[in-house]
Amino acid sequence: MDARELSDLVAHGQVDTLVHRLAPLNEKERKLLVPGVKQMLDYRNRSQYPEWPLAVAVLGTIGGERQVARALENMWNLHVLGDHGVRVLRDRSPHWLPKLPGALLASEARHWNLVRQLVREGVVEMPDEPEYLIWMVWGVVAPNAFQAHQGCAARDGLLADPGLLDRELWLMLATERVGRQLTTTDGSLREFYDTFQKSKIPMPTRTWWHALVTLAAEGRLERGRLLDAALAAPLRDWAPSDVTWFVGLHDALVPTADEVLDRQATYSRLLTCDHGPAVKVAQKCLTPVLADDRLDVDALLSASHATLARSDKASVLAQLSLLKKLVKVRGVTEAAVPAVQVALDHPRPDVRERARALLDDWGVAPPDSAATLEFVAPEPQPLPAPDAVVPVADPDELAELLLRLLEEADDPIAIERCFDGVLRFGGQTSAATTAVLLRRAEESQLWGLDPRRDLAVVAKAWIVRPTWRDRFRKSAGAAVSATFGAGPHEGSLAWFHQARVAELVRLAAARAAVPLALPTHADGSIEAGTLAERLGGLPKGAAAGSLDLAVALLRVPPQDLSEDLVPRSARDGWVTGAIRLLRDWSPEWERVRGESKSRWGYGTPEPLVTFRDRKPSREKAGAVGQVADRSNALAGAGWDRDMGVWETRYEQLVAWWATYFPHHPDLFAAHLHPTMVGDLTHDRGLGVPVLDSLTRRRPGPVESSALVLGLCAKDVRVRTAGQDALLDLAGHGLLDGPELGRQAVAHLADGTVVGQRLSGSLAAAVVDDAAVRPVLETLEVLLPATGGRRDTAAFVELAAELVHRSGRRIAVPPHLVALAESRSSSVAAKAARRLL
Amino acid sequence: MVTGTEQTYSYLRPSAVTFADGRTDVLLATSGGVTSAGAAAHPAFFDGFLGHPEQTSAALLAVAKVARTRFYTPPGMLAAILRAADPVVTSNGDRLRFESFSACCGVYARLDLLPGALEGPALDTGTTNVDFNPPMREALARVGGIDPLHLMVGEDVVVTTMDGAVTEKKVPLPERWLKGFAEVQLAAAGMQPAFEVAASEARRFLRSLPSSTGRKPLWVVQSGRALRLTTRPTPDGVCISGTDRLKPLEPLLRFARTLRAYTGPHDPSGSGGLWELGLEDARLLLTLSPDVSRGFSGEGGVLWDLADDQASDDADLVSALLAFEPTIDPARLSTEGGISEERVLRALGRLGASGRVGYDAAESAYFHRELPYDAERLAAMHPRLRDARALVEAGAVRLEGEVGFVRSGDAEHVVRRTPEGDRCSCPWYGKHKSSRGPCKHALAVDLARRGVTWTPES
Repeated sequence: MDARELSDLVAHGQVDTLVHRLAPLNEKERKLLVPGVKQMLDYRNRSQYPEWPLAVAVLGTIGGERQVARALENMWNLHVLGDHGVRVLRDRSPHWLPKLPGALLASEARHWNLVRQLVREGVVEMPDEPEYLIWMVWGVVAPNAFQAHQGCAARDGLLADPGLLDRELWLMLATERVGRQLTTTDGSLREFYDTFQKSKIPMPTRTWWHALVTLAAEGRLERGRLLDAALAAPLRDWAPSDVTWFVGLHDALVPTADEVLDRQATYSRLLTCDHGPAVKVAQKCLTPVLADDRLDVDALLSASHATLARSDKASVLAQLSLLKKLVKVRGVTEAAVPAVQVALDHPRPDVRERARALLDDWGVAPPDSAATLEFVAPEPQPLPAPDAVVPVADPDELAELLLRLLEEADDPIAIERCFDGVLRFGGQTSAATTAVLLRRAEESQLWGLDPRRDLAVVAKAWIVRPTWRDRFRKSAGAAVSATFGAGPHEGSLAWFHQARVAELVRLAAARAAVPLALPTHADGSIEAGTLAERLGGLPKGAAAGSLDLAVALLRVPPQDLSEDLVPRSARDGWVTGAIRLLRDWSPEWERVRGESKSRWGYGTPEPLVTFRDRKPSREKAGAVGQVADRSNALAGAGWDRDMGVWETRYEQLVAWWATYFPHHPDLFAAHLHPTMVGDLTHDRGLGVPVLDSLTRRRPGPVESSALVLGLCAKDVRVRTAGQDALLDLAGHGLLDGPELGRQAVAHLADGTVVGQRLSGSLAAAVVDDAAVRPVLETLEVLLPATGGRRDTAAFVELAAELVHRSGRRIAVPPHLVALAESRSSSVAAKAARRLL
Repeated sequence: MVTGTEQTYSYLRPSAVTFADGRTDVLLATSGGVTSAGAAAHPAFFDGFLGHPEQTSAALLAVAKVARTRFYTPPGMLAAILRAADPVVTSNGDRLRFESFSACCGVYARLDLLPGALEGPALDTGTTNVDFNPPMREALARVGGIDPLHLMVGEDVVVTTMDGAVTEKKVPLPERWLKGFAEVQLAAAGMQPAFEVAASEARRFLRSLPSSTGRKPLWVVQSGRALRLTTRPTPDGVCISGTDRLKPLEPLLRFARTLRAYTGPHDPSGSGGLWELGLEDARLLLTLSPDVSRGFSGEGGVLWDLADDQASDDADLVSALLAFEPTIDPARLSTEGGISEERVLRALGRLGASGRVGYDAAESAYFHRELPYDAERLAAMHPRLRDARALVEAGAVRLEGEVGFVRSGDAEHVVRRTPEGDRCSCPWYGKHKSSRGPCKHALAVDLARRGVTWTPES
């Protein structure tokens, strides 16, 4: 036989002849045919050759189990191969044949049917690999899966190979990862898509469930063994996705009372499972046999502890009902009490109430719980003084600090110390570390809004006088190279920041600048006296950056600001205006809502909420005035929001910017509102530094709004930071509960925030007693707005719990009074009754 | 490139659980390890009844679950091969300890069955692997609270070798896994108690934890009687990155008595934490790495000790004095070995890095156990130390007073000695500072310094 004959036989589909002609060849002769087979396998020639004769040629010529598996990788329908594959391998009997099943099952196409034929014909042993049993799920149904007239794909597949029912089926049902394969396969078999009618035809009879249940009903499968297999799966410590199918099979088998009692130990153990549906199965099956004397009540009660310690509501309530019935029919009150007491620790108050009611019915007093201890609201604590900031001492320290921050710019005060040092030590460098720093700064390939990029540029400017080209690049605005679209809006924080960095590079190059903006305290503030000293020390002709001065003025407490701080020589027109603006800062904030498109101008518009100043100052105040002007707050808000979503180091920038506004958190929060709205749907954690900056004074509407957005963020860290901020404010007696409530109502009313997240965050915050009263005040404002909302129950439950805990009453809105007086048994109605 | 070795477990027969005559018999087959008499192929440590059978079964399942779990999958690793190593059991005479380590190298679990849980003495002391096969796990899940539980860790070899059959399984164990398993003890040794709460608060808090918190760490702090999360780094709290890593404790919450937490040295970027669930006559503890994406293998806390030749000699001396004690008394070892307590502690750190002692935070003491892996491989796997030695041998280190200069590639890095520790100008130090042990340059300078000034008398 030569390559041409082989090619002709394959091309004409003469498989019997092919098998016959291949049979007498030895391995050497087969090897000579391999190039021809590989040519046929080439993707350019594949369409000329039918798949299954080509597969026979592969099996008859190519050597090595992995090589064969690889050659068959793109052939997906080898179940039509018939016995030709087995015949050709039996004739050939290569030494690698025992390893072939493993290699085939590991390949992408799997070829379970070919492996099965080899096993069935006794050519190879059943593979040890679990893949043989996992891929059996699809392999059995594959021949019939795509034919609508085959009404029982799985059943027919099993009956066509009855040997499977004796051994493989039972092993399959005990193999990990089979469950998810069965779920997927049954999901695809359950409905047939009719391409002509373009509709889905329900065909449940094609599934494995149907096959096993009907075969058991006909006596072809042992029903008891099948039931045991279904019950064993949840106890095998498998992933939930592997268990769900078995729970469904159990339900489809509909066990009788005798069958349940025969397996009562297993059903009792199911009550201790992690898998909720399995617990439900046990509860459903055990409930009808509670009165039967054969039931082992002790085992059931012992297992009930685990069920009642679960954190979900449904299974615990169902178990309480089950125990109620058990006590009624078997009179085992004393033994049931310890189990029911477990539910008294449940996180949901309605579950705890049900457990308490059950104990009341049985005449048992519930044990004293911690919640019944007397509530004492803690005294507000004074605000701690922020740590002092120590400037860098020498160029060596500066170089080391820059080296550290170039790797992780996670400390805003350290960045400010670097900026200060770069100006103070202009012209001096560290003898030991300069070369390493310059090399690292030049190596840094950083893009976008990244503080490390700013530090690299500044470090280079410190060490090497920037060329005109570098200075031009910075002054032209880094945003042009940072983003492929428009740059930041004038007056935005990103714009302000980039202008400041560009100015710093210029000042560093001048080598004679005096730094002004280094905070004296870790919260970003500068003592007025210190700034006056810095300004007074300006030598003649020395440069002071206008943006450096603007940042410094923002950092001085407004009450300490006066024109006298600034020497006449440095008192430009904008300086006086900026000082007046910041000293007399009294914006009239108004919540505004708009929409933003992506920065590239396409995509679905996304909602934006921010605050505008209805009466902006008309003072000429330079960059300070531009940053403080929030009259057109929605302009550039979409850009800000998108930066938050896309820029990977934006959180570090936000933390840095927070140090610009230690005395104007409202202005900072107003700027960051678009970013915080982005946090509601993206888990980027950008709100954390914003929320951390809100804790040093009594929050107004803007800060309260930011707090609500933080409490409702998608990212857990932001929600936790919101709770931290709330607790800090409450602990210092600064939290304005009613204002927080008003902002929450506004955000809930237009669907900006998710109510469940808000109630969850508030509930998490009140583990600290300091937050109880302010949160109750928040809820008092919020509850009237809950009418008709689906999340009413969560707020009412929380309010009822806090009223109970603090002993303080709140005004209950009429719709909740009506609900409480109705006959409703909803969670909200029960909570409203507790609230009254 | 990930380097690794293949661990071959060889069991006389699979572990099994049998239910008969109202009692449950658990046979844990053993493979390799060390006993009081030396190395053994299939040691037998315990044969007796256990108290609290349901609790013990659930705790054993939790330990096995940690071994089978990868809590973090690196980006790009779509189909990670998960081959779980079998748990390690140590008999300290009066107690049994079951240890496992997650596939991601970030979570260490240990179940301590304390003297009250064992209704009978241990047959021997030592450490071995135990087979935790799927049928075994399934059977353990069926153990109820009212069935007596009979446990055998290993069995009489004469009885079970009649048919000569041996169950073997091969598990590839990456070097970083082996190293992390050893080093986690040193991380635990540096932790301090942070708080302890009652069972009801433990249940409330652990159940209320979000399933995922992203990669950045949070801290758990005590607020009155309750626990809560915070984003603020605090030395009073316990850092936690990846709250799902505490999920293995959940099935045990119904048996919990207390929850105690220990925190590593304060680091605002995140530090390790140890969570200990107090049970009836038992403790289940989880030690978590500082970051979900960061395994214990790269922590490098032991590098200073490993670089110290004196600690090496002391370790040899101390190891000869160990006898699988449940708690190691440094004072006793100091007296018996004739070296200071400080040197004993350094020697124990070095032994910990080679898997020869563990640390029991509840007792604030090391305990003796020998991980049943190749000890020489465990001690040799420290690339930073290897590189530092290479730098010294290549003459790349120059000392000028308190400052060291290390030429590495094209750059010359500067290592300064400060009261807070050595500071280096390399990017690695810039990123991690001292939180993950010294960089190779700082180690090289240390080696060079000691090479110049160290004498046996000093």
